[in-house]
Amino acid sequence: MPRYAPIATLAFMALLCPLHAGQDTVSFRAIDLWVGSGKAPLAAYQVEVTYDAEHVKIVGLEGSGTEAFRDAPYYDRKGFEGGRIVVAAFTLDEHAPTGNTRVARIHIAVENGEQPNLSAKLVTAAKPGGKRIKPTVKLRATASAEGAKEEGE
Amino acid sequence: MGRKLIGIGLLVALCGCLAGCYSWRYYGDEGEPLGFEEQTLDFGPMYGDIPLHGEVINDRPYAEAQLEGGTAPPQAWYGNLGINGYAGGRVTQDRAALISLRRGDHRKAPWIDIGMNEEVWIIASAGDKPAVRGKGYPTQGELRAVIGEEKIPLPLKHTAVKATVSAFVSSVKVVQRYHNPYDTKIEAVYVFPLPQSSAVTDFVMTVGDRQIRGMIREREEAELLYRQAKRQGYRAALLTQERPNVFTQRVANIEPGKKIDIQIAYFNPLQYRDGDYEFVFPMVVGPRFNPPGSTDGVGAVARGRHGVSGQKTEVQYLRPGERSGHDISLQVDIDAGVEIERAYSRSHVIDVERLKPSRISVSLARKNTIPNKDFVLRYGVAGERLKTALLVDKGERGNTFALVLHPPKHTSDIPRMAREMVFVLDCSGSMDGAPIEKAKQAMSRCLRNLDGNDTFQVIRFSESASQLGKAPLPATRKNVRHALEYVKSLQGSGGTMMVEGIKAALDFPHDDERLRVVSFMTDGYIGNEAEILAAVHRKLGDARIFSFGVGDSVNRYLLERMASFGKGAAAFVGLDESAGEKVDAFYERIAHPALTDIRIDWGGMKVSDVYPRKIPDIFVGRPVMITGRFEGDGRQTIRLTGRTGGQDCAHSVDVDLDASGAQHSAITSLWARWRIKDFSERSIRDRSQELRDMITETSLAYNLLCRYTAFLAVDSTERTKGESGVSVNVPVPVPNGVRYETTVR
Repeated sequence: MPRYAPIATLAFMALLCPLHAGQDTVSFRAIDLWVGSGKAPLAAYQVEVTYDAEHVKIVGLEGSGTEAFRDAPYYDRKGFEGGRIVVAAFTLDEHAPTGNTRVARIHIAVENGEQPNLSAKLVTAAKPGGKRIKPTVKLRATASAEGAKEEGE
Repeated sequence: MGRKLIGIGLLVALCGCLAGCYSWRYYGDEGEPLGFEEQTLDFGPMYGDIPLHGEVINDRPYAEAQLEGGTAPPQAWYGNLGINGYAGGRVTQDRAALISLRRGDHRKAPWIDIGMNEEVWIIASAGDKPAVRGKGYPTQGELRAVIGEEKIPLPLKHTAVKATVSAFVSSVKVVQRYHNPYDTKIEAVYVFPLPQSSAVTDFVMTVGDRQIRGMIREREEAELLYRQAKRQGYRAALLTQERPNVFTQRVANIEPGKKIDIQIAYFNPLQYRDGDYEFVFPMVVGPRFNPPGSTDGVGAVARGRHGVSGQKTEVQYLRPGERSGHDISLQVDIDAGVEIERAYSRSHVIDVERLKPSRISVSLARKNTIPNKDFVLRYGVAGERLKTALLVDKGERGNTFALVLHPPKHTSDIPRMAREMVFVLDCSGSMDGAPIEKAKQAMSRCLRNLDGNDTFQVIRFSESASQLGKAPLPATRKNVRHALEYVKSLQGSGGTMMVEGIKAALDFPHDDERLRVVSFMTDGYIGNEAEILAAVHRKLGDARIFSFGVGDSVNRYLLERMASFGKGAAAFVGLDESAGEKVDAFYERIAHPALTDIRIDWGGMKVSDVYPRKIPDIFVGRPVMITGRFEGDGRQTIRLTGRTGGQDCAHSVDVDLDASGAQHSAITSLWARWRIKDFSERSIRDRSQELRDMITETSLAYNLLCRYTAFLAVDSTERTKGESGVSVNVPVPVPNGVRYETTVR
């Protein structure tokens, strides 16, 4: 190996550094939103998700693997920048799901070194025909695409 | 390799002997062709058909073919032509021509292409039986062709456009399908146009069968997050706005053989122009000229020459003879509420399906799918339709309205004021060829229509500006004749220093006895729109600007905005359209006085945040839209007052704010778009941070894309393997009628 090779390599890497001026400052994760409606078929829901907007950025909202809620859900923009988002969807599918349903997946960017503290609260939900129900809601981290496929889908 | 054609046709006896040989036959007058590659001897006339200039069939744009010879030379312009004996000759105009060999709906027939400077001969002879329609009709014939071209594999595969129109608002969904035809991961980058007034409100990335809705964020933050997602191997998509009508789509980490769909949704108010509603979907960004020293423009470079323009945004163009596999499908469903009398497109061949008297579904005809010019659909409705219309949207965040005001009907008896007509012709390289010929046609007609009391001036510009005379000339026959000769001599070449044209048109002393009307004829292919609009604003004085967009894919944003700043109106002449019709409509507009000094008494409606802030003058055939916030319910009466031809006039409109037919969910988005437009226009002359913040806040609050925000979608469930790959720009064809050689670096 040439004598000056290590120095040249270091110099070359130093030259490259500016190209990486935008080092990764965030990591990306997915959080699943689950709604448990028991025996009642779930036709519509609105769930408020709160988070620390300083360290967490929502970068996508995905529908579920369940046919009835496959389309990406809508969101209420009003509280978006303030760390609050209302996620909502409805289905006209005859076979509205029962039991625990992953209704949406929230894609987030989290500042490195921070924990993504998110919480979810039901705003409203309904059966087909519009009758209100009171299901449970919870958030669960998605480890990987493979993991997601195994979860209740 | 470009298309090659051997243009010698022979009698049917030789048919089938040579590669690429086509023969045909008909069964009787009403029959259909039995098929090609079939040697036949049968009856009935043989038809050829030459498409209109600029038409796109079989994925290729075509120009007029000048054919000659034969006992019955082809002369049809759309529609069939019968050929007896032989007909043909050399294709003498740009691009290509083609012949269809079928009657009736000829667009469903196979087509044969004939390139520039190549020859085609259609030879037909009577068969051995009498022709069905009588003596003299040929029965069969042949064409031979060897066809070849270079197809470029690209990441943008298909664009699907689906629009629904109700009242005067269109809701449009555009799905761009990206795929990776290479063996390494790529980032696809596509610069594309949308209508300049479109309110982009939704963005969804589809990976396989998973849909991820994008979020709107401040642009710098969204770009940073996108770069990080890309670097870390996540699939991600970013949509940014470069101009109100130019956008950039980036899609990161598309793996080999995989595809990702991007869906963009927007609302857009329809234009009402001279008796018809107009739905426009632009398909390609025209090659822009950027003045020396500028870096914030839109560069035009050849495929693969990334970065050579030095501009922040860059469009790559396919070279002549290159074709991408990208095509487009388009469907527009219209519910007009009243009977639709006519629907037509001069830009594309369309199929129209009538579902009800008031509802139609329009789609691009098969094979009419090359995205190289604006799709322009016009439709007219029956009856007394030009009533002032009000739509409202009542929501949690307040109420918004959109009011469309139509001009008064009877103004023709008011005496017109003498005019100082200034015609400004863009003679830059992008206008060379068909566009400048069309512009010259229009300008010549304008000159011939001048009133004897008017004065006029003709100005040309490219790198610099020059003019017909030192000062405006009286519109005498001699002067007009001289001007016609001058216009005839003009050619297109060089850059587009439009600011020179503006100076030449507006900087000379104004004749107080005459109304100065400045008419710009241009494709608007410049990248420094803000500079041009600022110059118009500074120098306008009392002049009015009427802009003529000439070409099939013009910069409508610039032309509309110049006319808006200049208290005039814009008109667009496609290469396939009659310049005469447009010029006549232009004279109709300026012959009748505009409704000026408009004031509105909103009655029981408490209105605020009304845009545009100053209600523009209204011309014959050109209504204006006003939008704002309001409080109020039930039936109300709106009173309009104004002046026309020096006389006061007043008009009342009864509206019902609670009528179900007046509700439209898009109105809030359109209002927010107008608000952003208002702030943006002010920012041309006031570059304060405050205005920028107001634009950004409106954009974020109403989920509406603007220059300072972006839509971002990241699929964080899975990292793709390997490096993030190379960026591949999606090259596009130069717009129909535009010469690659004079516009692309």
